Amino acid sequence: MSMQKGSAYLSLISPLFLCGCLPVTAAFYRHLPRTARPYAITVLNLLFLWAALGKAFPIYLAFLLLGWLFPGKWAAFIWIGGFCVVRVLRLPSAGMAFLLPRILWQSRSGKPRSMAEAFAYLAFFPTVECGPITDPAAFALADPTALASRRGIWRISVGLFKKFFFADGLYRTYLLFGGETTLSAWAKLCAFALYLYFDFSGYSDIALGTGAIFGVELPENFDFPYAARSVGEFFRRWHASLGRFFFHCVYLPLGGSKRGKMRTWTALFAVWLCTALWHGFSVNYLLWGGMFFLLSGVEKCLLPSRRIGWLPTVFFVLLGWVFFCTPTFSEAVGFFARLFAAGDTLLYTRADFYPLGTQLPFLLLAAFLSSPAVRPLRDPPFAIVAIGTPLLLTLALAALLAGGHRPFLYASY
Amino acid sequence: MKDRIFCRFFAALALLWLAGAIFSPVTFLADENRAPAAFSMASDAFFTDRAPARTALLRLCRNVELALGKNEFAGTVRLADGYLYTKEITSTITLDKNLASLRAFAAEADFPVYTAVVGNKADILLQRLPQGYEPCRRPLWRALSESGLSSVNLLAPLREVGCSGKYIFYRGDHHLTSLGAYYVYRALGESLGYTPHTDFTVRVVKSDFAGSDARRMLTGTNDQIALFRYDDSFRVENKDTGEVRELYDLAALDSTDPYAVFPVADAGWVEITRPGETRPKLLVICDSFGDSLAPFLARHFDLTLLDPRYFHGSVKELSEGGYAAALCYMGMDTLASREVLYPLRF
Repeated sequence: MSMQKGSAYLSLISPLFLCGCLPVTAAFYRHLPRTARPYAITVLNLLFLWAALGKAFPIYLAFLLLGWLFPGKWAAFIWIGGFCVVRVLRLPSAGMAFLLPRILWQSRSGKPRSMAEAFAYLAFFPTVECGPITDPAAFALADPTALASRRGIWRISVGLFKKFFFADGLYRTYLLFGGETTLSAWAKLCAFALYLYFDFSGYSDIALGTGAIFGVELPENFDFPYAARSVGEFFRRWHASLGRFFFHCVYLPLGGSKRGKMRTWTALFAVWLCTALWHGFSVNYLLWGGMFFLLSGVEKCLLPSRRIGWLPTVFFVLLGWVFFCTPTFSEAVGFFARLFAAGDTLLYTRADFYPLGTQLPFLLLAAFLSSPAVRPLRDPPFAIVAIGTPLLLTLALAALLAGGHRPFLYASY
Repeated sequence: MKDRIFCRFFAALALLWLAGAIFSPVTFLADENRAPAAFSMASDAFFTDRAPARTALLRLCRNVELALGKNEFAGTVRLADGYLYTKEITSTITLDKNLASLRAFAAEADFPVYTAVVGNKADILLQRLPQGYEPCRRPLWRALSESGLSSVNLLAPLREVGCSGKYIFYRGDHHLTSLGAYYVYRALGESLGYTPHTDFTVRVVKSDFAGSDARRMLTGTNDQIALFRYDDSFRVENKDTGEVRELYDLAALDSTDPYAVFPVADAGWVEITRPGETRPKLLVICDSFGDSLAPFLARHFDLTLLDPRYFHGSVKELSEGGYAAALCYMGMDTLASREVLYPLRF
């Protein structure tokens, strides 16, 4: 189900795209008349889809056409049926998990669009690989301004730095910990949690930056989620666009929290079932969804403050990532056993201290940079951007040259 | 206005960078000792390998990572006294498969088959490992000792001389030095039935050798290549290409791969004989560790050196050449990271 690097030519982080396609097409695009822009974006989308999706391109294109041709109630069938067919038959499905929600959301919004407008929204190229899943009501092709482009370049620099320097480095750190003892298992899990954040939020930054250069303001997908003080708040800060989609297209239509506790629980169950299945058809994801269904239900219905606090939130979120970093249920069980020193698991061995000692400063730095303390750097003053952009790009490029890069994890969903 | 200038500056910079990569005259990455990647639509390596100021950027990344306390860069760990060690991804499953192939070969062969496995620096230079560093290699050595093969223990003698401070490993390369190979030669004597000689003339022929670990770390370790010489009247024939060379190819010392001064050098099948003499024949199944050992063994045997990673012929046919014995001499990292011995199954 992963992005087939072997069959794809381009991604948002390809040097050819970032240093060639992006500046050239952006310069060309800004001089187009406003009426021609949806068509230009559609052409760009199709070219990027062909280059980025490889073998998945024809299937993606077929769903794109179906999504436009059959709006309204048919979209739900296309979404669910298509998703199942693609998943069950194990067809090349790069980008599909982000396309199908957009099809459904657009059909629910009822906003009529021309083919060019619909395609510009459904397959907006920066969002093809890993989202964000844009609200169709908020998607607009505005005039690209120099200020927006400058902000876009800054966000791309931040995203590349997050991806190449931190995410890929954290993945190596994650591999370094054997996870055989309790101490090592917790260190491994923390490294994975930070890797996941930097990988996905790095992509989102690049997508937001690219969108801004083309005059499209994409929604923030991450808002320092590890600072959340409740499970509900965590998922409003983590992959927020997916949460918003399920809120509008599943939770609210099922009654939300306005029709009593039973309906709230039902709606929550449906949301978490869909969220789990969106990630993949596996027991691990179902258990992950089940765990957060229970936790968010308890928060919403039983706790007056609706908050379980920061430490419990981080604790449960970390436990949830066990289902992501282990491929099977039995391996997840084994990992949990090591986390809680069950069976004959040792608390620590001498071998744990070397990787911990050499990786701790990096992990602490990553943890700091994932905290709201760096929120002002989202849109800093010009002087910081002018100094920071070349610095971040240099470090990102250096890290890319040193270690290559792994495909984005969320591109595999 | 300043935003517009900013955007144009970075757009121009990006295009210049790309043009610099596309039109780069680089044909060889000297620091990494490899050719840059060829153009492929599906690969970013073409551009990253030709990136302007590539080496400076790599050094920057290394310095930042070391400053963060990582003590390693690109998988290469810093040990004490300037030694570098590159971790390989190993598994007992892969090792077991190789050992099973070797057992099958030993069962079919009509001559004794000995196994001698060389550890890496983490196995041998224990006193130079960072504090608390545990390479977790015991399962591999246990699998070897329980394999049922006639195995010559190299770990203990090499640890002994390694821990006494002898220069048996290059600081910046994963291979044994000639001195290290000499200690292996001594350890093999009893099993292979020879008395090790000591009358060698040792001559340092290169003092600025940068091996694979040093290149990964982008540093020079000024390693010395020394040759143990006694008589050069050998005929070294690469049976794959038909090329004949001397025992030590001194011209290779100034090439991009100075280690090729030793015989074999990434060839699949090499024969070392002494013209005019009839001597017992020894089949040596080896990886690049065999390069530095071959000159010592050649003093006692006519050698057939077979590197299964590059050999494409029939081992069955080759093994019918009247050998007195066979020796499988490989690095543990090779045996436990790649299934290289499957050609030995007849």
